[in-house]
Amino acid sequence: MDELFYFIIAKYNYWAALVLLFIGLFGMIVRNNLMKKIIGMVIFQTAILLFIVSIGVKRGATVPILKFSPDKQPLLDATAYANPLPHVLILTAIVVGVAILGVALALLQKIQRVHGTIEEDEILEDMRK
Amino acid sequence: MTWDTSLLWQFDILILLMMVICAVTALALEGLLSSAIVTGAYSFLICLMWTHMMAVDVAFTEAAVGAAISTVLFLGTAQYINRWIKKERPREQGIKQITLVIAVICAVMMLSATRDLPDWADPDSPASTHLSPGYIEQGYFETATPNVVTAVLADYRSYDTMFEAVVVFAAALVVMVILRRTSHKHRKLLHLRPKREGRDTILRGAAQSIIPVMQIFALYVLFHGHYSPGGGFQGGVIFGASFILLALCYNLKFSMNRFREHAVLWCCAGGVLLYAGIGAVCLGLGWSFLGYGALAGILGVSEVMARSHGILAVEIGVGITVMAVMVSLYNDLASGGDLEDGL
Amino acid sequence: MILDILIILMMLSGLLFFLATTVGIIRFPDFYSRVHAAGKGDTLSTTLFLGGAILFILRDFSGENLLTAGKLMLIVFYIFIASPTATHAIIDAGYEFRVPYWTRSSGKKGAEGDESNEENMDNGFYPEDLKG
Repeated sequence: MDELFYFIIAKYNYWAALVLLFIGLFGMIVRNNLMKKIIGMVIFQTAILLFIVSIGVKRGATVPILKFSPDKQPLLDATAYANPLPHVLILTAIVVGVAILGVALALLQKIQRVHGTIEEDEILEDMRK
Repeated sequence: MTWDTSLLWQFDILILLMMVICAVTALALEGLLSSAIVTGAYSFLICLMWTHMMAVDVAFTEAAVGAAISTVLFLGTAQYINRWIKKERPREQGIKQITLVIAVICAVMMLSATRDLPDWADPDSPASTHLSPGYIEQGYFETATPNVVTAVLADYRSYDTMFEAVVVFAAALVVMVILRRTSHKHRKLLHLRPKREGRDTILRGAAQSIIPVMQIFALYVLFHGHYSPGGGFQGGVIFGASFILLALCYNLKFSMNRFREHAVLWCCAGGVLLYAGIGAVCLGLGWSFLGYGALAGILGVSEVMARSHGILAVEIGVGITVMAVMVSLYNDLASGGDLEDGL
Repeated sequence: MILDILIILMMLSGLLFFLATTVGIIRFPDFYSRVHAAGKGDTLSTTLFLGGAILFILRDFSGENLLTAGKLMLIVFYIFIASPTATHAIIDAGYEFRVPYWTRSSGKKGAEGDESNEENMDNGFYPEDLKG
């Protein structure tokens, strides 16, 4: 029982990221509405980002901004700060994510204008005509 | 066999559960407007999660981008499309079972693979012992920047950041190319709001008092990024959000009079140019591209301080680009490309 | 000691108002009253909560803590402006789009969004200048 509890505590974060990943993927594949597909894409994206950030967490660590002792010397103990590298990668990925969202929504508006609908099967029918 | 309770795993599990609920709800709802709002709530929850994981810079960005800008972009698009989806599509039903089976098989395989991953929050995991201790221990003496994330973002991995800025710039151009100069006049599916000149005094008064403070705060975030969470991306997004708020509370014409389209385009390109230009100056002075130490002679400071100033200049470039791109995305998406009338 | 009690009281009353907000959002019958509950309760409970936090920080007084308290006070101030304004904007938009509202009779006749609600909208609910 104790071991199982420890196992859950040690891994639950990865599991949550996985569950979100597959919810997003499922939405992207199954939903017929293109807007829902975009929302699925956003969820898929954040699940990956969540996974990468959770790699950088350290027990008992604080934010990766150096603390200073009263005589202005930085406290340089690598285990006292969270891993900054995943944060950097994710920070840029979020802003690129909103750029991708913008392009996706622009394409959505264009599709609505050309085909008059954003339901996938109706678009396919319209294209066959 | 002990675990540290300082990480508050109960709190984590609660937030993660709410995130899963939000994700399912956002995909299952029939109204597109409501699912856009639920996506905003999802962003806010993941922002809490990141704060709890001590990734404050990331949480800051997500709060500005995910909860504010993405939601506005979704709502801006929602006025041009049919906001209710029809239920019961035969195609959807057929594909559902196959996808579910495949997804479950993949999920089980990946779940079994998590056993090989290092324990969560393990300080001795490979990711935390190889490269990042060097950044933490030497970063301050090499760049004089206490915020390690800023130092890594704009100095050690500055190529990354430069091309991210280029990607964002390209996205603004692509949206412009897709939506501008439409062949036939499109119509809004959402009814146009009645013109209410002078009637929403409360909204405008509040906007007038908040927008200047927002802009000052954005500048603070940008320039104080060396010492606190923040930097070019966050500052730029907040500054862009202030213009979007102006457009929401007044109208698109009003905000475009304040921040003209030509200026937006110049800012989009100018930020990237500033970033790359600093790199080119460093290259011209005989250092590597974006090796800020080269600026020491020009600025008359030591090499370490020159790197600190170089980080600041590059962050300003990123901030200008991101700000202009956010405004440009809003202008194009909310007006459907004709820049006549926004949300 | 008195300060501690004050902090605990503020936090507890903040929680209480949050609870009331949540109950209001779930239990109220129509759009307008729900947004009203969310706007009012949210603003007050956030203010109380952050007020408690400010007092908690100022318990051991120093320059740095004063700075943090000042930042929190700014947050309180802007929530106090922004949250009611947002509520106003949402309700205003709903009013313009003629979202059906709840009356005693519509509550008896059937669920919200019923046709009887639509009739209510034309029974002098709108001032003349807003019609059309």
